[in-house]
Amino acid sequence: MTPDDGASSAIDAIWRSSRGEIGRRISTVEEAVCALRSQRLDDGLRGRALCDAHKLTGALGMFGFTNGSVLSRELEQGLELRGEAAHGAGPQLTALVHTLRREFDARA
Amino acid sequence: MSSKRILLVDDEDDIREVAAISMQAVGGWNVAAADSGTDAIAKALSVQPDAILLDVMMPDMDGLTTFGFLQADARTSDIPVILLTAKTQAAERRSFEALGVAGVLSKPFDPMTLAAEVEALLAGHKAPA
Repeated sequence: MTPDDGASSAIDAIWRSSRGEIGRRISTVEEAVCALRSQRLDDGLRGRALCDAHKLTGALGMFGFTNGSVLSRELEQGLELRGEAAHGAGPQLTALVHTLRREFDARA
Repeated sequence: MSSKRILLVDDEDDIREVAAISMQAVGGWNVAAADSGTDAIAKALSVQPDAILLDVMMPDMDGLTTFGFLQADARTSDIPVILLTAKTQAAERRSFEALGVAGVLSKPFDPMTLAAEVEALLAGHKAPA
């Protein structure tokens, strides 16, 4: 076994142990996008979702889930929008978070 | 293989653990880890690492504030610091680089190339006079 093989196995183990927390973070983003679409997204949920989307952006790609980081970054940027711009972005954010969930579940 | 020591600072367990594997198993570095800015300052003093990989966005004390404290202390001011950030805006990254860090790396990082990227930044970094 090369050092790279050993590292890959160890990183796979961290992915398996992190999946629950990653799934919880995606749930927070899903909840925020749903609230945004119904115009009841408050600052508390927005802040938690932004934080979780940012953490997903930073983490998913290092597990080989590169598109997960790309989707999370777009969600983070979308959740920073306010007012009409935020409401207008609702359908796109819904599509993004559905894709993120589907691709995560396929890996999990 | 290098036998240098690096201090990894990130509040996220999974990122810290993957970075540790990258630097240790792939790059051959000795690794110390800290989960906050306060912890990082204490470990920088006790471990005296050859480099610090420092997350920018952390609760309580962020990476930039932590860097400021490290720079202000003569016992840690010469340790090269590489910032790790998920921010992608060029202006923000340039503002980080202007602080005098040894470099800025993006999250997510590739675990198989992180050590090489760190070493390349350190090789190109001129220590303060």
